[in-house]
Amino acid sequence: MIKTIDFLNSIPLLIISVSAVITILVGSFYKKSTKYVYAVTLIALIAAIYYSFGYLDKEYLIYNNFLRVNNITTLFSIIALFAVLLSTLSAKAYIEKEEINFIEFYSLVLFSTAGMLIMIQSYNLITVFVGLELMSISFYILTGFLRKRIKSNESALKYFLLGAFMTGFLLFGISLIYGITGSMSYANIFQDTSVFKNPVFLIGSALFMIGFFFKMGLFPFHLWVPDVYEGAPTTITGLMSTAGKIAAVGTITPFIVYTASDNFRLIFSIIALLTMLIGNVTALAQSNIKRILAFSSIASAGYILVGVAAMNDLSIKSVSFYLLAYTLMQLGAFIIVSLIEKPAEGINEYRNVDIEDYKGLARTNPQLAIPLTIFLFSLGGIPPLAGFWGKYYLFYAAIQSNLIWLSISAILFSVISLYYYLKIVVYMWFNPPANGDVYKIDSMPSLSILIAAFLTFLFGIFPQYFFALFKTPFK
Amino acid sequence: MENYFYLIVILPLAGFAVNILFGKRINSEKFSGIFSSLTVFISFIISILALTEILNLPESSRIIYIDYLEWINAGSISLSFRFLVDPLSVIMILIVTGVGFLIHIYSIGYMHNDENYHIFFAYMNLFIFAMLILLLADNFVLLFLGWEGVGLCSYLLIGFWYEKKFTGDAAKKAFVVNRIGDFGFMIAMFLIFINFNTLNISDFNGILSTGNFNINQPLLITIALLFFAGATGKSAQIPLFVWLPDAMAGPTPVSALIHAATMVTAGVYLVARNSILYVLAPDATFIILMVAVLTAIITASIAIRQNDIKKILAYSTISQLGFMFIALGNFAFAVAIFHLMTHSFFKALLFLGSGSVIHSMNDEQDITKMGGLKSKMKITYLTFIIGALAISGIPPLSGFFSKDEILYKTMTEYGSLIYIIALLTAGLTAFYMFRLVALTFNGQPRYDTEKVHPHESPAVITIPLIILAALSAIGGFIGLPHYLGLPNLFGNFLKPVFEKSLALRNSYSPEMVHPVSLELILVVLSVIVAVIAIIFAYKKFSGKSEFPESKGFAKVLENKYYVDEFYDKTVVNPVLKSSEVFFWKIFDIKIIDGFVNLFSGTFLRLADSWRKFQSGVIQDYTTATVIGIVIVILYLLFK
Repeated sequence: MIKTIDFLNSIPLLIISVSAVITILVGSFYKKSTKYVYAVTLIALIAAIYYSFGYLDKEYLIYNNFLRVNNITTLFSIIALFAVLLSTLSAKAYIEKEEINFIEFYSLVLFSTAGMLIMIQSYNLITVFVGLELMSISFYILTGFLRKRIKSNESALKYFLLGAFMTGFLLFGISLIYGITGSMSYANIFQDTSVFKNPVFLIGSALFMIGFFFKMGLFPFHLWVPDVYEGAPTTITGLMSTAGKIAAVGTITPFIVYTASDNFRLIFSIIALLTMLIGNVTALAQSNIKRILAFSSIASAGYILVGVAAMNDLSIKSVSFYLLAYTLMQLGAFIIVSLIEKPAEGINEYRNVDIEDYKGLARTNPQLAIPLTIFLFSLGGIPPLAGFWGKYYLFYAAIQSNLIWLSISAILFSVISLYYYLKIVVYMWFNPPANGDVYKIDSMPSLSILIAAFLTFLFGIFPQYFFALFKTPFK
Repeated sequence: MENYFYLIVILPLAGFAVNILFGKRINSEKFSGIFSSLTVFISFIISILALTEILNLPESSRIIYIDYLEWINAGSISLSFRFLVDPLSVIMILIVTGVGFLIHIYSIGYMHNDENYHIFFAYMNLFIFAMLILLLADNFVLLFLGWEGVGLCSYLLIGFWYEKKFTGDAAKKAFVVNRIGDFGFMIAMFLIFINFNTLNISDFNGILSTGNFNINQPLLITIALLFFAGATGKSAQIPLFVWLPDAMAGPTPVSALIHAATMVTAGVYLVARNSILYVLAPDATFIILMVAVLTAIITASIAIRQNDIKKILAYSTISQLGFMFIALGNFAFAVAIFHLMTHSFFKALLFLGSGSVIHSMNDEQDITKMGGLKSKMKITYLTFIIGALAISGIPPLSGFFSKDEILYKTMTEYGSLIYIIALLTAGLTAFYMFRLVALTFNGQPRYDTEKVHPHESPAVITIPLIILAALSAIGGFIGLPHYLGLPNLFGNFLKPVFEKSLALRNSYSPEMVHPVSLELILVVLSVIVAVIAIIFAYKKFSGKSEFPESKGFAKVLENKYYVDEFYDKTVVNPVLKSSEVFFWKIFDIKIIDGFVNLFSGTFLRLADSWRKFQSGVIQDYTTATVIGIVIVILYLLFK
């Protein structure tokens, strides 16, 4: 039975879901202007973040054990909401430039956000599935939001087909788990640890996890990532590669760390290794900055899985810190890419997204080149930026679980990654300008860039601030 | 104290940031100079507040820890921005901000019309910031941050006039030589962390003072010597002293602030801060004493045959630093700090005075081409004389008290031989100082009176000189020797810091009681030596106008014992040669580059072939996915 208190314990989710509906209603009254919708969206996100902080260090099971609120779910929710907030702040300028400034854009962003929160907080396989689909379907539409552009349509279709395909496996996995345990609720599934010896249960869990590995972009389920990231509107790419990934990681990481046995450690390690290898090495041959960032996000998923494979006390801590750092730097980079991109003249191509176009940017647009350099250095893992500590904690967690070979390979792969990150930096600072263009930057995107750059430094110099947010230590 | 104390480091840092970021845009000498002097002045005020606050506390609770931020917390390493405010660090920050402020004021006049004026002040502020971090840090890593920070500023400021090749070389030399010492510092840190599982200075000293350690444990000796290796770099002791004379290529205020009064005393501070370690490793401390005695006498003897006014002062600084280490080598930690303080007064004074002379002589630094400046630069002359008398140890100026206490400790701790060498050094000091005074200010002008018109410097320059002269004259009274029967304020103030180490020292080597008459005899002796040396130098050089080429040992002295040549032959050239023949042409180009190129080439080729997997065809993607799933399932079934 649903109790009144349940609503009080899920305010952020309610805010987001209700305002998603409100945006549509408001939109039908003010068809011309998206001003109000934009404001509603931002207010909803800020309010949701604000209320989320109130759930830190609390523990509830709500809506008949369908959702769960605790330190970890709240933490992931905050990071995901924050990623959505940063990208929405900057999105307005981009969608105006590309002339896709429709009300539905904001509604879909909010719906996908509601999906993320449900995923992260779910305590039942059904709600996981509902949340995942809510997020995915919103993303499919957003990917094709540049509806006049073939590339955008193509990538939306690809994403949808592969997503549907993977959903089949996910559902099959869920049904196997249900078949063995007779329950959908986490509380019952993991009651009896002897099920871990049952191969059918293991296969069911594996299929379930693979469904999320697909969303995270882990090898060999990563092939869609570069195509979709390249074809989607750039702000949506930023949103998918950060908030979407946070939701996927936030759904399965606690699941894996607290329930999975050593059965999966080797397979996770191998997937992590191959993902880092493929992501980092393939990025070397790319010249489109959106594709470079796509491969970099694949590589990042690999790093995250290194921390997950550790399956120890540090895993959640390190994964969540890395996700925050990753959000700041990856999203920051995508926002800058979206500002430099030019509206299409034909119907197919994204213009000004080749790294050649970034030559001499430091001379023509230092206010873009400096933060982009910071984000790229952070992605490359150079201290004193947040990305350095992110990787440090992940690899440290792996070392604690004796995965020394994995940590060493991860460090070597992040050395390789410096090549393609620094290549962009070199282009920006040490080459003569490709063209004299000075890009227009609105106040909202610069605000989000500023926040991201500031926090990249802050958490780089004082990583402890992040952990100090949580009074009770992670279990 | 917590609520304002952090400003002491933040303000100079802000001065740095403002000058480096906006200095060029503001483009006002007045603003840059005054703003950055002001930040240091406020830091000085805060130091005074800290001093009064500490004086109001009972003696036993005068060691305060201020925790600001957690910095790094990883595994068993836990570092924070934790300041250690105790009598020792308070004295040091007073010296650094006080003398630093005077030198900032002086620089306003001295650097007038320099085209990179704002950058100069930015670096000076950064230096003050780094030096304060060094002095206040309660963990070795933070201390090292300051240690490297002051090294960096020293490098930047020596090479400030980088258009001249010589200054660039000098800056590089200072940096590289210091790096050798820093290596020792780092190894010492690692050893402490491995063996004691802490990097906090207070924790480390706490562990050492538990009494669980035998005297002269090899580990402690090693750590003590490695720290001292770091100190020989920063504080210019044998064998790493060669950078300091060259460092005089920088602007004179820099020589006064960094290369005389503050940074070079960092090594002394480091040893004093770890006094317990050195008490537990007396063998290492004895090595310090030996090195210090050698450094003091050798560099003092070099100074008597130098003609560059700043070089003489540079060698004198090394020699005086030697004196401080002699005090440390005799376990007289408070005395070392006392001499550090008085030295910072009179040496800053002498350097600034020499800057005033150089300035009015149109950048002439050779004292054989000066002479007769006494009447033309009255204030500079008088203040310089006070500084020279102070360093020579003439009572009742400050140098007399601090130096005589060191000489006395030398006698009582290790006996007459080292005492005699130290006394001889003191005599040499008086001699070369008054040779310098006589050649510069007395006699007839030896410069082209048509072209050069020496004149007194403006008030921004002379006022700091007057203040420093006053400090040099009366600064010694706070540390009166006990034979006068008056309280030694300085020693009493520092007591809580060194109490434990001195008690420990007493436990295995009890202090002997000496008759007061011994101390009095020694005082009289050293004053007589100094007076004779002064009179001798004055007589010999006052009217001198011929400077024949030197022969024999004098020539060896003039060429600084050929130490630079020796290092070139034995270290620098072999390294350069082997770099050129082997490390560069074979090892670097063939092996390293070859390996790197092979490695990167392989990955680039891999990248090129792997991008083909990214066919864009959705059927391929699903195939790959299914293969992946099948492999995972097979693994789970048959593992």
